[in-house]
Amino acid sequence: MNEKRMKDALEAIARRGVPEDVNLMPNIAAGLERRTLMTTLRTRPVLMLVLVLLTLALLSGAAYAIGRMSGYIPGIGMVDQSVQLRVLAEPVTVTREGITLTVEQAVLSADKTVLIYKVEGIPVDAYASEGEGEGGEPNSVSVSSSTVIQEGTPDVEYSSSVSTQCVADEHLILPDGSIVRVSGGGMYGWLTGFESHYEYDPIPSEVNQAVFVVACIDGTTPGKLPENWEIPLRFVPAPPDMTIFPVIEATTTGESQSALTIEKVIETNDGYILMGKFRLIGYPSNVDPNDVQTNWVKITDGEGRIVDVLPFTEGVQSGIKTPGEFTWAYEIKGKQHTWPLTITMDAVYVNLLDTTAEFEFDAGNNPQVGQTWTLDPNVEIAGYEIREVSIKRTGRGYEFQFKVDPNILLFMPEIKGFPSSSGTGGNDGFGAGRIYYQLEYRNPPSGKLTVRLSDVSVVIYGPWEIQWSPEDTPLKP
Amino acid sequence: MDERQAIQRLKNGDISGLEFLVVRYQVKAVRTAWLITRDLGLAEDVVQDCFIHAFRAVRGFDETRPFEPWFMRSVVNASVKMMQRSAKQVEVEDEADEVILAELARRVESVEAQMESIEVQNQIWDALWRLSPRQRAVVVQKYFLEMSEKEMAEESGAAVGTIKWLLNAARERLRRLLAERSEG
Repeated sequence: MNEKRMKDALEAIARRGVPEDVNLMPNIAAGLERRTLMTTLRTRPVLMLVLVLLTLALLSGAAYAIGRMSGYIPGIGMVDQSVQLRVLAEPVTVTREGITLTVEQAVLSADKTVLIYKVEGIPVDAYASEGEGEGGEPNSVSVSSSTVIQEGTPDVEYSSSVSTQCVADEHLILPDGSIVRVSGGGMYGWLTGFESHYEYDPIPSEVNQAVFVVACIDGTTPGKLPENWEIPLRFVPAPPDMTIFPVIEATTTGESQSALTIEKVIETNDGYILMGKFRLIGYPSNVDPNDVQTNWVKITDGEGRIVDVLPFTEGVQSGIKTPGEFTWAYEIKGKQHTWPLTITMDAVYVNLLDTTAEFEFDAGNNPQVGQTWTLDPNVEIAGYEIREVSIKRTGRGYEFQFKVDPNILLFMPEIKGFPSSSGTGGNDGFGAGRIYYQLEYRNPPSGKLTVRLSDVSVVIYGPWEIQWSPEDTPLKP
Repeated sequence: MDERQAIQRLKNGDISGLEFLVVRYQVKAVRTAWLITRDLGLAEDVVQDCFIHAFRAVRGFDETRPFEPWFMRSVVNASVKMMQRSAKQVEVEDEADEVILAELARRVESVEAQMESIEVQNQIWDALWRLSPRQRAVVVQKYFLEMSEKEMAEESGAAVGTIKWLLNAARERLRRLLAERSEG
């Protein structure tokens, strides 16, 4: 193999996929800031926050209301404070055979339990590699009910329970034996460890202790590292100086006719967090707004200058998406702006529900691996053109490459009557007009086949705007 | 400021040291993560987290040693873990691996006269995507980051032999496939 040529190819591919003007520093700085806030838990006393909250409510002419005593704890997310918040009495560390598991933080609120734990000292050779473990038959693949769309190169998520790795199955056991399980959250890892931020169901307010159980170290080969970790935890009332920013809910009357609405505002030490919803007005009910790409959003001040903002994601997007709308949230840096601010969305992603298109191709009775068909399917999907389809027979199925209207973000192909056993797909980024997909089968079909396209995501254009200032009431679209 | 001064500043909690390193390595790091995750958003998230982790973990770093291999290893590892947890990867059985790797090997061999061809790059890209995350990471480390086995093994905390096996597995399989083909 020619290593230089392989390197040249990978560099060319990478240059095409990742632009030179990547700028991660703003998000890194924000991440460091949040972590600092989370770990120090020091700033304003709660009493001062309540006073600020009341002042804001009075200034706003009752345009705001304190919804269910919601609060925002940096690093933890939104919490319901209608009952006394509790926290971990102290971090708990257990070390077994060189692996250290530390439960660093816990916050118990009326609506959830958030627990942060870190595992360190994982030997690299303990991570499960392909082919290890018991293996097994791939499960039938199902596409998640809501297509996950991310900026850049979105992919369709598949579920598969094939596992040759330990699955931690973290849970909490309460004194009465009941089990509290994970309800959401995420984790990030590095070479020899990871940190987990998971949410669990709420723990009753009278329960002040639990045992945290980790079946094994996530992602490692079963049996290689200590298993069945059981760590006793004790919870105490949250200290009075814990940093909790009030979440102020904007009250609206009647049915809003605006695409953009602001529903929650958080005033932090150095700015504001605005959370709202986007709804499409005047579109058919099958046009389901799904998401917005960051570079389609801009926030300007009263003199038209761009305001420094960051997408805000802590706990905002969790939960089941409500059809017909999506939630957005941005963190505005600084408090000294020329008000009002104008939030503008130039375009949004939408899912076109119940929208399909079909075309046929003849694979012949004995298609060969590598055989390729290039078709002009002469079809549209919801008015968007499918310009060319290249289909290649692979070892286990078919690979599709579509050239499409650049406003189509994604769709999913299937061969009618032949459920695939697995598959993956994506695009080359919005606007590229290229969608690829690979479908695999236990017994790949042949002959005359009908390809059905569904789960269509496209972009529609605004712009849509809303204005906001701290004293604004009511909120003006 | 040079890299050594930047790391020293970083150790003192000075974020300007981190900024220097971010500017210097972010593009290569995101490209590395993207080659493994094939998702620009995920790749940026991975690299951001790695820089944040570097900020916290740099106290134990020997600033007389180069930062890049240390950091890129964390990017590769985090990318693999992200893929293993994201459920985006289609599981491929051994038999399928042989087919995919054979295809990748053929692509690599056939590109000698036309490596600049975008079509060939697309073919390699697609073949690469069909490897498991770990196999893909090995290819990226070896050919994109041009890491030696020694570099790959250093500071890993594991036995060199184990690391060498981990990092060479895909390459050795490719070689074996090529040898079998030439014998046939």
